[in-house]
Amino acid sequence: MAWRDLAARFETGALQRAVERDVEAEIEAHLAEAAAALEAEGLAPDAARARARERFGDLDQIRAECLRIRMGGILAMNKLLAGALIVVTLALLATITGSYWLYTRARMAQDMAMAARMQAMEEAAERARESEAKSQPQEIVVEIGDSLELVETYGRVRLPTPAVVQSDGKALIPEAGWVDVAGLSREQVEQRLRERLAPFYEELNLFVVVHKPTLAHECIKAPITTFTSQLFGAF
Amino acid sequence: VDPWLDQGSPVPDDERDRIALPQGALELLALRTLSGGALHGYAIAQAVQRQSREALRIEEGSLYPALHRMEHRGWIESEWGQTDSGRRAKFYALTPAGRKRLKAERKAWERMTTAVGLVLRGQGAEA
Repeated sequence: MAWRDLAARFETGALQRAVERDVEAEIEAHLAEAAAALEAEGLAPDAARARARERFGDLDQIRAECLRIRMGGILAMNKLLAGALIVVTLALLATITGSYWLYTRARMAQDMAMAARMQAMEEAAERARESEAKSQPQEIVVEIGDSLELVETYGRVRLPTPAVVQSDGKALIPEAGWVDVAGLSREQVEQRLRERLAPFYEELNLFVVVHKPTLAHECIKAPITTFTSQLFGAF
Repeated sequence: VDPWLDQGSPVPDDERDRIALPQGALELLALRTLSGGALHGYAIAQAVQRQSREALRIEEGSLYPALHRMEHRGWIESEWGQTDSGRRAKFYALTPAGRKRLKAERKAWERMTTAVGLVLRGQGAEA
């Protein structure tokens, strides 16, 4: 069956006219053959035609019956085709929808796996950083309010009491005077004190112990103005 | 000569002696006629009447619904062509499904006529 014929089948009106023409042509061909045969037997053309019609039977009824059979079959075929078309369309839609659903689910799973992997990597990196930080001793930075204690191998340099780093960042060290130590690391403070005390001692082997203040000493770190404003600000 | 169709009645003397076909017989006769090759409707009607020695009366028009029905069922197929006299006509030919159907219908018909014959002969003996 040609696609053109198939498409034409969907046009019921045009189809019915085509079937009517086909049935009419077939009946007419029959009557012409029958009339010709009767003419050959000696009947006059009109009489032959009338006789042929008579033998044929009820023309209208037969025509209607033929049309009913032909259209019934074609309409049934159309219904079948329409049903098949609906099934195919639904199957196609289901396939597309299902594929898209599967695709989105796969993408979602992929994204979730990627996110989990990234989070695991970040956690591992964090653990590594924490582990590294724990393994390395933290550098001690001298701050205002800290107390410095000096230890010398031979006991030549000793402070009667720990030297407190004042609010200007300096600590009073005997023989060295006021030394600017705030913001320096413990090693830097040691180096600075060695330099300042070098003229007085040979082969000075000096160590500094930094004592961090308790909360009561925190106020020393702040400049006096800040301290007083904090103290009396509420009033 | 086909022995099956050849067992007909003698040639009737006039139109009144012709036998009207029983229900379903027309399709069987048309299938049998087409087993010899493709024919158009008028030729089928003529062949049936000729082979029945004019005993069977076919209302020619009634042949066409039967032909269209059989075509719809897939037993025959049609194609427009030219008759011997040069006129356009639709030719019908048997399909493989139609051949199977003819074989089955023929057997059923033979069983039925045999059975009817037995009954009639029995009634005749009683009478």
